[in-house]
Amino acid sequence: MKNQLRELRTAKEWSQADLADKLGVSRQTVNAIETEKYDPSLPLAFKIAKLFKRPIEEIFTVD
Amino acid sequence: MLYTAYMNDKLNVPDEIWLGKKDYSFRTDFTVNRWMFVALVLSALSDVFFPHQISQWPATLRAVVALAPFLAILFWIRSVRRWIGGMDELHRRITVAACLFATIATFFAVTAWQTLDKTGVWQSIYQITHLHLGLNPADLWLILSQVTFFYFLGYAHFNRRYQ
Repeated sequence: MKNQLRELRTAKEWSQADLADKLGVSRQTVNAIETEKYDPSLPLAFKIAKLFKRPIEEIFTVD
Repeated sequence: MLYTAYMNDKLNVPDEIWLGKKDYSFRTDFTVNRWMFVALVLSALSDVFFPHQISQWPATLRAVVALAPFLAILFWIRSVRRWIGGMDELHRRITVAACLFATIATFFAVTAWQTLDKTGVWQSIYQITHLHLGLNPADLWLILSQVTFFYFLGYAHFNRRYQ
């Protein structure tokens, strides 16, 4: 699964640690999602979509 | 009193119990693993005293002494479960995978050891080398040591996948 998380995060000028704090996860989790090594759970994906005020399908797309 | 995740919303991380890692915390390690230590001590004590003093005791009392380490293990499992529950989803996934790996690997190690013992392989090695380890892999302290070893091995492997 591909995602736009890194682009969205850098547009807001947040560090990975900032985003991790806002999402209530570890920095390693944010990094693993950004590098597409880990697909987040549905609740976390919704949390990300809500945080960036974007539809979930705009952030996460199937390969 | 338990677990940082419940106390101050800080997420638990697997490195908290890995001695030498940056995030290592003796307090967390002690909170999570103290019952394993108790199980080890009880197991060692009953192994030392069983053949001598305890063997003269009534059967019910002997059963209580023999099963006490297993009660401690149940408490240990509860502590580990709570600790894992305080992690974020990626760390939980890695830790659960490492626990599963440790359980399966220990099962295979113990079974393989005993199968080799039954077929007389260890006896043959002893006759050639005169090296007798005198270990029984089904001893509780050895099983817990194997679980710990395989857990860290599994954790290192699964964690690397998400680095």
